[in-house]
Amino acid sequence: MKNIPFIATLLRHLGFSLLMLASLHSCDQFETFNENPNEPTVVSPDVLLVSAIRSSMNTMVMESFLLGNNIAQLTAKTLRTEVDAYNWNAFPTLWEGLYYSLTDISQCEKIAKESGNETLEGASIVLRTWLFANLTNAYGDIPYFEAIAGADNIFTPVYDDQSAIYNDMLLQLQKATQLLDGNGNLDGDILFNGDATRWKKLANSLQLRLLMLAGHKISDASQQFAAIVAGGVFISSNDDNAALTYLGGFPNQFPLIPLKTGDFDAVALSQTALDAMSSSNDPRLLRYARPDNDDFTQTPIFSGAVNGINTGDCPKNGSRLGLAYWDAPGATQASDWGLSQGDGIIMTYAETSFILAEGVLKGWIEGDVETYYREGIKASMDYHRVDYDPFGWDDFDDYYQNSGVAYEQVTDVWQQKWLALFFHGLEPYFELRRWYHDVEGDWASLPFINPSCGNLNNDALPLRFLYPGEAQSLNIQHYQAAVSKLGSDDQNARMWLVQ
Amino acid sequence: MYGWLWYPRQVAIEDLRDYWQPGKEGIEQRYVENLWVNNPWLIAYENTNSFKSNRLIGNLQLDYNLSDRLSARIRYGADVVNEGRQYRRAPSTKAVLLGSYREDEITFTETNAELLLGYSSPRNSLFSFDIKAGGNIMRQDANYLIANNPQLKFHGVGASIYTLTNARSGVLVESQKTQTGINSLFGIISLAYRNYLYLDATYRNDWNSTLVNPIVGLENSTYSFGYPSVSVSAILSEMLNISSTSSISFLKLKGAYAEVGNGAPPYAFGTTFTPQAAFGANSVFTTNRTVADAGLQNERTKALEGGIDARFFGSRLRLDATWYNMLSFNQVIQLPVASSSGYDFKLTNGGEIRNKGIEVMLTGTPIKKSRFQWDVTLNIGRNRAIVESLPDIINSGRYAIIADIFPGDEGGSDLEYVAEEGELLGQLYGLGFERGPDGRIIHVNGLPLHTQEKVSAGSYQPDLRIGVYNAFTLGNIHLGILFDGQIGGKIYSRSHALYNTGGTITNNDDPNLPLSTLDGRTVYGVSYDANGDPVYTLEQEGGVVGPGWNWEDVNEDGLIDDDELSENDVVVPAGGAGYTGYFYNYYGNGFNRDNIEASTFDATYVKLRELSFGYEFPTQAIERLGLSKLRLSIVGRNLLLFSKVPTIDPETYSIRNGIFVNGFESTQLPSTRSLGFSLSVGF
Repeated sequence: MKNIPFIATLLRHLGFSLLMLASLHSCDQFETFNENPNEPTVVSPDVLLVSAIRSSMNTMVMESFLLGNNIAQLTAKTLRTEVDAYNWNAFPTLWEGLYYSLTDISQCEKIAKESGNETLEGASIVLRTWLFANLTNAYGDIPYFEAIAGADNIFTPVYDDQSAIYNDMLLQLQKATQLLDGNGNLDGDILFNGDATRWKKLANSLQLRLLMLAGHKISDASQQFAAIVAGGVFISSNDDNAALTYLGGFPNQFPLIPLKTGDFDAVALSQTALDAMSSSNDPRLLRYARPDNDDFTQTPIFSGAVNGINTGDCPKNGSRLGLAYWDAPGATQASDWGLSQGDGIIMTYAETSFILAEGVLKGWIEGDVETYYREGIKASMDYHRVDYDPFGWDDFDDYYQNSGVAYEQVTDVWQQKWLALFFHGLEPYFELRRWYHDVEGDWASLPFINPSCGNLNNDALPLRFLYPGEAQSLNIQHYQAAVSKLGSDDQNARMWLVQ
Repeated sequence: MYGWLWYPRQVAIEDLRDYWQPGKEGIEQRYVENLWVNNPWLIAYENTNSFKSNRLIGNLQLDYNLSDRLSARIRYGADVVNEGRQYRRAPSTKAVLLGSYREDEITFTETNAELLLGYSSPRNSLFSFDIKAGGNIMRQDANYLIANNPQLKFHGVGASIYTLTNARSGVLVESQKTQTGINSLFGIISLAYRNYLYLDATYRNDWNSTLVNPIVGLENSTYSFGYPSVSVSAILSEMLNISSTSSISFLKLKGAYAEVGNGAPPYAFGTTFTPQAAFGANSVFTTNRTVADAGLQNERTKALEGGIDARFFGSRLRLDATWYNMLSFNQVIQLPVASSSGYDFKLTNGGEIRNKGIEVMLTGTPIKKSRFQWDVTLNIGRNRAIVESLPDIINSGRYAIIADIFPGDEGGSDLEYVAEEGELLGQLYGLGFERGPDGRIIHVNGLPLHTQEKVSAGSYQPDLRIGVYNAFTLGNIHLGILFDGQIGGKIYSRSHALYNTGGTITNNDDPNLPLSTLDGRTVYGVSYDANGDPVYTLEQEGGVVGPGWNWEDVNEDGLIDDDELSENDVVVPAGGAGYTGYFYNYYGNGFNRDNIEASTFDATYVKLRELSFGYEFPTQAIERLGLSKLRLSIVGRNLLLFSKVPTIDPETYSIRNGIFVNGFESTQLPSTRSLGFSLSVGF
């Protein structure tokens, strides 16, 4: 019983103590601590659209600089020449970069759909399909139908057949054109400034591109192609171009501008492109490359690096790439010649013109090949705002008629399309691969290009990118299933497109 | 270090000390090349990272003794840190040509308020106990404010250059605030029987704010969890009344079982959107790359431990050994996921990792004379961390703790730090070499052939860690020698791969490749013509033949058949263009940085960790100075390294995503020897 006073005292002190503790933590709302003050849970879709366009465009510009232009020998690596020596490692940044952008565009599409914003839903589908097309064209079978579903607990998506992906991409683009006729707004559209018609034109032009790439595999490709051309809604002038105009400062500049000099100079004008262009005194030389003598007006001199392995047999001295692509400190700047920095190109009028020329050649549509061909070259010249004078031409007509580029045969279309696709993402490679497949690997049938010098692939053009390392580490079962279908995870394995 | 690695060996570093081009101070650096790396003096003096930190730690404690037996204690503690960081990058720094300036402001506050009530039983020699019970309220607040001026407008020298306002384009601002809290109640019971048997038992319950899911609310979240512990020790030498004259002077056994629980990172729940730099007038947010389980729970560790402390021959010999077995389960894991899922990480519970091991310390005094004494201490430790199971969503039996150790490195297949079911934690994964029947490397077109799928080069975990300390005392002279090291374990050295690629080491000591970077050089002779101009004549074409097999797929089945192998004689030609010649072509293409086998080594090493030599001044001599002790020593640390690992010090690690990654080394600073004096004075 002796303890009772102690307990009373204890309780009194306990009460006092608790009061003290509580006062030290006044206004403490434990239950709200874990509400995130840094990141919202709800956003308007425009902020995601901007993010998706910027990030995907940055990826594609970088990949066209590192891969697309070099594989197709428009430019050449001067260092670490595995790419154009055709001895490929995995190129994970394309995979990681595009799937990254797909998350934002899918979220944007979801919010647009929930809020009944049909035009934005349509634009999101166009952008999404462009990204998936780049992925499947590069790797073959890829996660598509189950992709970007981590929020639904799908962390190891199945790799789908490329044929099924193509089928769906074409359907999606058709669906998008209908949605783009609907209600809604396109806030955050840094690509077309809210113009739904231009999105529609892109959607249809992308269909033309995909049908051209897979024409031999899709039974009604010619009808689909003809129907779109007949509709007349596709990129039909440089004003329709799908190209992102970058801004002045970091981080919204043309993505190559922050590069180290060494990284920028690891790529130079190729001998292959120089041969093709100098034979016709092509004025785009002054846009694609900087003259070695820094002479932009009278007699610019260019040199070409030879694509291929890095030995004395394949000289690597080529002109530095053009003014639009990098600000060399202390050297001539794009602004000195009234030019702007490079765009992030999805698709241009030049490309659609050549697609139509090829469509006529394939008998898919009626028309005059040369008209489209000539229009394609002119569109490319206009887009690059070329200066005809230093190359001895009065104007485009003079150039076309007297330089030797006037249309004669199918391979002229291929050659001019190839030249026009400079910095068009990975399209230079995808197109070269298609022609290479069409001529059954006979380089001699591609008069403008040869196997790269001392290449390490038995003179063959590699047909696909290797799956990135993370496919093995993070989704190995579906990776293995895809590889067993393919034969092996090899750069020469044949995906559906080149079977 | 990356810049140093490419540093031309023929350039004297002192010649670069004037790191600005004359007349272009603060505008254009002066260096031997303008492509890749920066003048090291510019990095040291201009591209500085500085910080200033203020820290305040305060404690307030009130003790009430309510009686002899009953006590109460209130304690309030606060730890406040304010830190400012400044990062300067000078104009013309490679890849930051316009220069940049960034400031970070960091504040961190932790407060703890604790109430503890205690009762002590009356002391008697037979039995006594203590009971304590209490509660604690812990709060953490952190603010992180980053302001980054990515492009400086005006360049040159002067105090106004490196500021946030000298901006060419907009200043980018990031802000991170976090608030977490844990409320706890706990109890402790301590029992003592006579003076040789002791038992402690505890129980604690935490309510952790990081496990509150704000989407479902406090009531529906599982944020409360409890965990017990109990430990027993028995002093057998007292219990059994072992006489002090016996050879056993002291014997104690101990055992313990404990559990610990932990919360999650703050703000784990729900889909959020991360703000990014605007595009002109357009705001930009991107989807957060982590998806968390809606039912995320606390993680848990169970540990069982036993030990012995035995001393013999009047404590001339002492054995202290501990054995432990610890299971971490339901761990809160930030699991890397395939980017095709649209996310980078899944935050989930799962996986079991067992740590078991033994630590033994043996101390002895073999010789003890009046003027000479020799003491030896031997430490041996062995720990095995084994992955017992992986989270349910992993169905491939392994997952990459870090999926890409060196992002951006060429190769592109990525080196991984892997947890694999049933294996030691921390497997080093990457591509391997295809090897012939005798284990030698297979070449195609003269270049090593890689496996398509990644292979493990083993785990970083050493078989044993050992330390031996010998101390000798002769009169007033002390000599101490400490050797330590590890046996087994693997280390991947990115430095080695880079130095080899750059041709800045000879590679004579590489156990994986019996070729020197000097092999296969193109050699020219030089003579001089009548004008005294040099004339070069090619003496040796050069080129490298990789040791091993050459494979030609004769039957074109894509499989390596034994009869398709022959001794490799294909010459990888010497380079002619610029600086990327000969060995680079072979090494850079065959020993790429995503090849784990190329530069993974057995990390066994022994170091002469410390050597000390001291003199203790005689007591009589220093008493006059009013001192009781004066000892002067010379101490050398890290004096010798014995290891077969080339190029680097194998005692190293990397940090990725805030995780310490053992077994991977990248561009380490060379470890340094140190030599110092120590003076110890006693009054």
